[in-house]
Amino acid sequence: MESERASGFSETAEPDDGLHIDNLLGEGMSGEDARPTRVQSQDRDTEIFNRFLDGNDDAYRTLYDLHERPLYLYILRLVGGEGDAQDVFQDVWVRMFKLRGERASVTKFSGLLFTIARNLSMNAIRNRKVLPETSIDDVSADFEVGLRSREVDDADIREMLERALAQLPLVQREAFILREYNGYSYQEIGEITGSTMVTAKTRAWRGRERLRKMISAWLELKEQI
Amino acid sequence: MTHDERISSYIDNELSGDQEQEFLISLAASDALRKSFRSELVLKKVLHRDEMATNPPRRMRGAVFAAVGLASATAGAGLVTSTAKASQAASASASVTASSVIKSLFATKLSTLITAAGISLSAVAGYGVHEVVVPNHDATTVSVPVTQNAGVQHQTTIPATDQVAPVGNTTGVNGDASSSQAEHAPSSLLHQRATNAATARNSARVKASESTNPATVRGAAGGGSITSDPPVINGK
Repeated sequence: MESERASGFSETAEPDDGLHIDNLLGEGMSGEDARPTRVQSQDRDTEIFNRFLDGNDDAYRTLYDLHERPLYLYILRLVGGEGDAQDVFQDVWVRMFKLRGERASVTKFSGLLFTIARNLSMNAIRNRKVLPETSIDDVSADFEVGLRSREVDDADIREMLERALAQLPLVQREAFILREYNGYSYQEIGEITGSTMVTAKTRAWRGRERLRKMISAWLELKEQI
Repeated sequence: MTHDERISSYIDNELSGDQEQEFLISLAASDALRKSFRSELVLKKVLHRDEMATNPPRRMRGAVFAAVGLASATAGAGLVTSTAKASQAASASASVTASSVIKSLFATKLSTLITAAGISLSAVAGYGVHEVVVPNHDATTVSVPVTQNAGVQHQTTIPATDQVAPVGNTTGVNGDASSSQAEHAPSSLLHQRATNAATARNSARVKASESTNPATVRGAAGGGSITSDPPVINGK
């Protein structure tokens, strides 16, 4: 196990020291000029999480600070409501903490985190039983109503985006969010959602296409107004 | 490949060099493709703004750590706490120092004021008291009915030197014993001089007033008027 965890990071950090982000990033991985690649970040996060599993509480805090924002954004856009999103967000981190007694190590922390988040989000959506699927025409009409009823600014555009995302089919929405907000590859999206890479790609494309049509409709209306 | 698929492939950087060149040429030639591409750019922009504007509530961190039984305080927070405590202690000691300085200044000023007031009162009293008996003269006692502000008649016989002791005692009220003793001597000396001067002036005035009967003497400092009856000297 130790050999699996051996990496540049573990050699630069003292085993018993508190894990601070500067130390955790290791030599050559901190600062603007040496931003870690996605693979390096994943390896680093997995290493930190394994330290947490070994009993280091600071590792948990560090991972929380690293993934707090993208995870919350994913859950919020997937679930749709802030109250539910916050509940799911907290449950995810509690579930991650409970892994300490259940697992000795993980192979990919980020994938595990978002898989748990996805499953809990699906449960929340299922329990809530809202978000009826409507046609693209309905959503465009929604945009038109918004445009004609009041002045449009950035906040309104964000609100319309939220509503448009909520109207997407769930599989398309989650693939699109993971792709556009969290930057995952189609292969990774397939792993998180339990589908193939091609399916994940098709879903993400279709979700994007729908949203783009909404934007086109919005632009046309804006030019007319 | 449709417009949307080409745009998505371009966005995902999945086009080869030739395909990308072909796409850009098509983009320049086709209004429909350009419109779709423009909507893609707007969508990207909106997504970016949404991403920048969305943050988890600050209380979530504490809530999560409390839920798992971890203290949310970090080293930075501890530093902030200790800094705040140090700042509180510094401000407390500063306030204590400031208050003690103010107190000492106040005490000094107050005692100075009281001393000055005592001197002034002594001077006024010495100026107003009609101790017209000058011991060095003929050792006669002059009884003078005194009318002060309210016009109350006082038939007093006040030896000038009796005014010294109360001034010194008054000074000692607001100070400690040492300061009282320390201030007693100079104030007595000053008072003695003031009293002597006042006595001399009064003596001169009484002498002058002997020519007019009755005489009225106004105390300059005291503001009261003193009406002197004709002095009775040895029953004459």
